[in-house]
Amino acid sequence: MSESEDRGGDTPSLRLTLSEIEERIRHLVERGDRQGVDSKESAGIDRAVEELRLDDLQESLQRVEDEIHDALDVLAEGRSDLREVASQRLPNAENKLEEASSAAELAASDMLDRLERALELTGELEPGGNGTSGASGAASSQPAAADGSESEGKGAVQDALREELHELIQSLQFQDITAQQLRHASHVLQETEDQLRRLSTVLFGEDALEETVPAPVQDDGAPPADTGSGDAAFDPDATTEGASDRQEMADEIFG
Amino acid sequence: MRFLVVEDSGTMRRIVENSLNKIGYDDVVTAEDGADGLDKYDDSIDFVITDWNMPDVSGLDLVQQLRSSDSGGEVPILMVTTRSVREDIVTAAKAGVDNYIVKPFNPQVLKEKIDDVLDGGGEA
Repeated sequence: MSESEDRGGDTPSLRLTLSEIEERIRHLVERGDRQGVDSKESAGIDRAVEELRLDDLQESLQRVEDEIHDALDVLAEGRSDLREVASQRLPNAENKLEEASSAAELAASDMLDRLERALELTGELEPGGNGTSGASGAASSQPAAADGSESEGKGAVQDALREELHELIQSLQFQDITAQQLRHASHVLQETEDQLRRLSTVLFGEDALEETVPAPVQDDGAPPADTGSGDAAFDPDATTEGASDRQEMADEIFG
Repeated sequence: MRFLVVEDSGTMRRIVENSLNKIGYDDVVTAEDGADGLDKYDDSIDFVITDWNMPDVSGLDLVQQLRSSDSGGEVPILMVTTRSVREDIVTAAKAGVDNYIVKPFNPQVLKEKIDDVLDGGGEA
């Protein structure tokens, strides 16, 4: 049995009680209909009401009241869970996503710095020379003017190294795409948090979550800027996969 | 040829600039979002490369504003974005984008699209 079935185990009982009442009312109406709209109607209804066994009806209503109290108890128990999820877990998850995104951006920026520096260094290497690295000290004792094939070989290595560095720079595009994916996930969490807050307000009152949830503020004390739906700030469908297929579609449209 | 690269991601901004350098274009102005792009756009810009998803003024807004202006009506515009739903690409085309690159891209594709926009005469 699922948790919802377990917690909602009384719901079928409540439905049964309500259907009993409905059945009795329907019976009353049918009896009234059969009597017709005439002077006998009142007497017919009176008889039907007597047949309702009011004691039973009162018992049914008491069961309804008990069911409602039980349901409210379940909701009250869920209030603390709801509060924890809406005020702590979801904001924490959003913070973690933001932290991961910032860390990835910083790391990508640092890698770009070093890769660009490495590219600069490849420019300082002379195809026929000894390079700038201290590791070339042994080679420095050799004649500076290498033969043509050696010079060409070093030039090829230099070009290959430069190409590899450019490839590494290109691969860092993943950071922009994953940042958009993380922003989308964070946006979904934010929407869920807002929905839970609204639900909590409906169930428990205006300030049900405000007791434990201070309004988020930025470092400067200002409330966070409303980024709207996020539609303009990120692409919810951003992906690193299938780029060539998607490019083909764009090429088809642009002819 | 002077490029204006409009991209809110610092990483992507540098990657696009690096790619342009690699294919022979060294004169690059960068802008951090659409509003910054509009500020930095002037008659000296020969080619605009813009992202789509940016806060406040999006790439699409930028394109529409440039196309409705006197100075930006004819400037070549290439959009480089993750957005790849057909309707989005059609929207970009209708807004006045000259060509479209889906991220992640490589410098060769960038060169091809720039060349296409420049009618095949885009050797740097």
